[in-house]
Amino acid sequence: MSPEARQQMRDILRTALKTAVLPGATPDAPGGYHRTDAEPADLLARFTTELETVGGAVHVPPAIDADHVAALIADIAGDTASRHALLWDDAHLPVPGVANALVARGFVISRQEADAGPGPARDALATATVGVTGADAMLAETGSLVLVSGPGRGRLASLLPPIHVALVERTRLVRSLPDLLLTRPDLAEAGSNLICITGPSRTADIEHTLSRGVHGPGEVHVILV
Amino acid sequence: MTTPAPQPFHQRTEAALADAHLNQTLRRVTARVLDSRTAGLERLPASDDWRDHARRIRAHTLAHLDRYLDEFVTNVEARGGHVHYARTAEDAVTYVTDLARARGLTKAVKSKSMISEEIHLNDHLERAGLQVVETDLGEWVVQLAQDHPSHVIMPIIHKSASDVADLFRRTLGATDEEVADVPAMTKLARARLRPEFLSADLGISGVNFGVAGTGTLCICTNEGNGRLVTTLPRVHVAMMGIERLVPDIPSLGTVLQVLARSATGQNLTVYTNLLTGPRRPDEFDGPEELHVVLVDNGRSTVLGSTEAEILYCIRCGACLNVCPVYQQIGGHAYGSVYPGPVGAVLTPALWGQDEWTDLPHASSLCGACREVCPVRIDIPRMLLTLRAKGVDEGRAPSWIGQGLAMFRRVAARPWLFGAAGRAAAFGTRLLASRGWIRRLPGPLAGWTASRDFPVMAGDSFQDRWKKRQTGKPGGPQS
Ligand code: SF4
Repeated sequence: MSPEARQQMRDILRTALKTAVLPGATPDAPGGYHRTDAEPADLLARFTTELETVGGAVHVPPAIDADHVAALIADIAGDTASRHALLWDDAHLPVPGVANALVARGFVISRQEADAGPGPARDALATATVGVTGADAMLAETGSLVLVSGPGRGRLASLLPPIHVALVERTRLVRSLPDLLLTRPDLAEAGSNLICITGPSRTADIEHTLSRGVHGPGEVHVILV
Repeated sequence: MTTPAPQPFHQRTEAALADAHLNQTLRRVTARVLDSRTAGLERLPASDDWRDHARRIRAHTLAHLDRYLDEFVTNVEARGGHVHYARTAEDAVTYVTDLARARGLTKAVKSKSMISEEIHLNDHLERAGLQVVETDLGEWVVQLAQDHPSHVIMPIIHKSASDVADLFRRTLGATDEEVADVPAMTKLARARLRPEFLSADLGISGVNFGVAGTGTLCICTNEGNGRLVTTLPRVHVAMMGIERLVPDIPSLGTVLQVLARSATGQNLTVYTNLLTGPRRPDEFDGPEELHVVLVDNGRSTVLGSTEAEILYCIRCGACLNVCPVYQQIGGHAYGSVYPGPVGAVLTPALWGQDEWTDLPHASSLCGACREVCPVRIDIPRMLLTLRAKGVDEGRAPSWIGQGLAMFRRVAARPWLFGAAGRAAAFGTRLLASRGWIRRLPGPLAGWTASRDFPVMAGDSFQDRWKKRQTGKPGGPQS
């Protein structure tokens, strides 16, 4: 924005503010609300209930290694004809070797390269049936997942495929989005995108009737590791 | 270039009231959403305190809007984005169409944005040769039907499922199977719109909140189209009202805590999307270019007025759902992109009362809107101020002006007032059946268009007062 345009904007607003009637305005920035209610004793139980309420699911593998996690993902994906996974890089998944374990179970694996716009490479990613990601936080009060974008952790894995599976450590549980943004505001700027996902994609536009999977994933699964 | 009021308000209202199908749909859906809202807020401990705090954040931000906008511009630019301040609607659309031309863009996918409705962005882009595809399910339906949204959150609240099925059959050649039920139609939308996302070179979104301290944009959607629109096309243009700021990320957390609960009763929308600048050099996806268009289009005028409080609005739509007038007439009757109680204040405040004199009268002043508003905007206060301004400036609807003038002449002469009362009582007895009149004659017919009129008492209040005085020597008692 040119300095002149900026000055013009400032001038217009300052003039307006001279006569503005703004009930309740304080001189100091109020900041975020500091809640005083106690945290739920069992954040994981709350997370599970909330995620199930919005139509997602939480899974606990019998053992935490690549093979057991891959077995669970294969179960979730179902039908063997459609085994095509789009994964975050290994370094950003909390369990090493999941991609190889998926290949062993007959999965085709796609990795994101720098997206070069419309074309065959992008169309190929769009045919993936499962997206596998990690997560930076799980929010107990809403059953949400928080994912910050970065190298090796693209946005498309949690967006294009009809099924999204997130592998997350239990230690990532936080009470709520306001709590997270109050204590870790830096996360919002850590990548170009912070996405907070609360259950499967949904619409209620037609007669307020709920329907899932309209543009984003119709299924959201969390595998606790 | 605001939206001109089409037919007179009362004509639009009559048409809406006569539409039984619309009335039924509206009542059913608004009742359901209101129940969800109540449940959503009940699940939040101390929800009243959250709301008070959210109001404080909005009030403080507006009171320092010059400073926060400046900070916002600095931070968006520091992250590699571009910002344009558009004083008018023309200015905003010109910026976007010029950008599209300069970059050789041909196809735009859009997520829901009230502000682009406000400035008729689609029309201008299409005239500039771009293909524009609305991707929010409701907005897509509106586009296919060449209709207008009738609610800020639920654009096709005025359409039933079978209306949509007919539309898909007619405009998309959908089979009966593809429109069998709502999930089938949802699947159809996914299949038809996915190729558009993958091939578009321009993504246009609205903005729920901008964060001054970081230059972050927050976009709340349920369908996921908002994410696709802001991730796949190489240019992202975000259309944002100048008032939609919060100071910092923690404040954003607070307003988000009450937004979705008030709007649909959800704890959060499915996707709460925070965008800080375009794709970074080491990232794999996201737009190469980000442009934020700050749209004024009358907002700075509202800021300088007694109606500035309406700018606290976070567009949750709760006041529409709860409003008995909206529930009866729906969004289209208001004739503005912003219907319902918020629109009845915002529309005339933004674009002048000359064209929108009627809207502040489209309310029974019951106060339900103030009760449900997550940021406790005193809408009834502003409706009254606007009505008073309208009357003072001689712009009250003509029926009010003429009626008041006649009343003044009659009431100033006691003998005439008494005679008029007796004549009216006699007249109403002639017109009535079982104590009620369905249709008053002449210019009075307007009153009975939407209500019945009772037969007037045979003896007037003055007559009875006199009788009472004489019958009770001790004078009136209570
Ligand atoms: S005025 Fe209040 S209730 Fe109405 S849409 Fe705005 S924030 Fe919601």
